[in-house]
Amino acid sequence: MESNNSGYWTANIKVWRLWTPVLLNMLKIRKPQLNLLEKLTNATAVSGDEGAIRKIVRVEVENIADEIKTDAMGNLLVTKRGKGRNRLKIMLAAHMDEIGFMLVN
Amino acid sequence: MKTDFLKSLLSSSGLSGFEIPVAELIKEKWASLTDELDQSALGSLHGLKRGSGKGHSVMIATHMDAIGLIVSKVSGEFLHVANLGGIDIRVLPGQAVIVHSERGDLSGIIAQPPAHLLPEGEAKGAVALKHLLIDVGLSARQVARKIKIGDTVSFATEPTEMSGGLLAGHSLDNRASVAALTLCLEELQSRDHIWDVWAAATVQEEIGHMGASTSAFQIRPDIAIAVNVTFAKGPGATNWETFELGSGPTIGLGAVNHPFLHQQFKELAEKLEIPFGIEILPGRSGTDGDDLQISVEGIPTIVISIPIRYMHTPVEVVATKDIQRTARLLTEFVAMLDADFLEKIVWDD
Repeated sequence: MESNNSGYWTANIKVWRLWTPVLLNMLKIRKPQLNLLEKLTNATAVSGDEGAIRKIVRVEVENIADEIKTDAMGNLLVTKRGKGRNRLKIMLAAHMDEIGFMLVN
Repeated sequence: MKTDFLKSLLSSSGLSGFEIPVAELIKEKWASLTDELDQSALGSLHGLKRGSGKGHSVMIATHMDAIGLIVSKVSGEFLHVANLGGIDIRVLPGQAVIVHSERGDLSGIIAQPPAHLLPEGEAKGAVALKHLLIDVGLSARQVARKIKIGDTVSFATEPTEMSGGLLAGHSLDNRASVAALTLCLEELQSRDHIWDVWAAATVQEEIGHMGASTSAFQIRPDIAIAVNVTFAKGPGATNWETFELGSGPTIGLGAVNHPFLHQQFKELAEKLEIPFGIEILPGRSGTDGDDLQISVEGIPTIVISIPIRYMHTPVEVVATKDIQRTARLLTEFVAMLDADFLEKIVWDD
C-alpha cells in the first residue's frame, strides 16, 4: 500500500516538475502582479469600509473593462463583454473585504 | 407625549406570525395618515404618504410583531409551551399571561414545578422552558375543549406609566418604534416633502426579519430606514452596546448602515440639537435593516434605534421623550430629502 502510494506521488511530482514552470509562465505571476498583490494586501478594507480596495481594483481594470459600476452595497461590478450572439453570463466573485476591528469605546 | 396609541399597542397581542390583532390597530390609525394602505402577502402593513416630487421613495420599517409563547402540548389541565422569538426564560415563572384560543382569551399564569420534583441537575439556575407549565384554572376536560396546540400565549402585563416620563410594558420592542413612526406620519401631515414615504409595519422580525425582506422587495424603495430598539443601560448592562435611557435615539454605524446615510442623520441630529448615540454594529444588526439592505439589488439602509431597558422581558422600559425625538428625526429627515438626494449617495473612494 505504502509503496504504491509513494509511486503515485513520485509520478505526480515528475508531472508537476515538468508543468509548473509552464503554468506559471502562462499565469504570468511576475513583478506587476506581485506589486498589485502588495498594494491590495497593504490597503485597509474591513467589512463595510471597502473603499480602498475598490479604488485599487477600479484603476487596475479601467482600461480592460467594458463597464464598471459600484452598487448600493459598495460591490464593484466590472463587466467584460464576450463576443458572438446569445451570450451567456458568468459571474466571478471575489470578496474584497477583510476582517478587522471597530473601535467601540 | 400622548401615550394612548402606544399603550393600546402594548395591550394588544400580535406575536411573530400571528400579527392580526396589532395590525388591525395600526391599520385603523394609519388609514387617515396615509394616501394608500395595503397589506403584503405575509401580513405587513404598507402605508404610502405621497410626496410632491416624482418617483423617489424612502421606506421606514418598524416591525410590529412581538415575542411570546405558543402552546406545544396540552397535558391534562396544564399547557406546555414553545417560544416565539428570543424570550428571556429567566423571567417566565410567575408571569401572568393570556392564552389566545378560538373560544376567546383565557387568563393564565406560568408555573414552574417545585425544585425537588425536577429532574436531577435541572433545578439550578433558570428552569428550562420545557419544564414550565401554564395554568389557566380550568379542568382537564374544559382545557381540552377550549385550548388547542398552536394557540398563542402573550404576556398580560398592562403598560405602566412610571416617574420621569418612563413607560414599562411588554412588546415595547418594537411597538415603541411603531409609535415613533406613527408620530412621524402625524407630523408629516403639515409638512412639505418631495419624496414618497412608505411606512411599513413589518411581520416576523423576531423570528428572522421575513416581513422586511418581502416588503422591501415589493416596495422597492430608493433608501430604507429600519427603526428598532436597542439596549439601554441598566443593572448589569453597562458596556459599549448600551445607551443611557432618555439620551435620544441611536444612529447605526457599520456594514449594514450606508456611510452616507449615517453622516446625513448625524449632521441632521446635530443641527436640530436632538441628542443621539452612535450604535456600533460591526456585523449584522439583528434588525429588519439586515434584510432591507440586501433586498432587490441592494438598498442604502440605516438602522435607527430607541434605547429600552430589560429587552425581551415583560417589563421593557422606554423613555417616551426618546420616542418623540426619534419621530422628529425621521420627520426632519424625510422633509430634507430633495430631488438630488439620491445622486449624492455615492461611495466616497
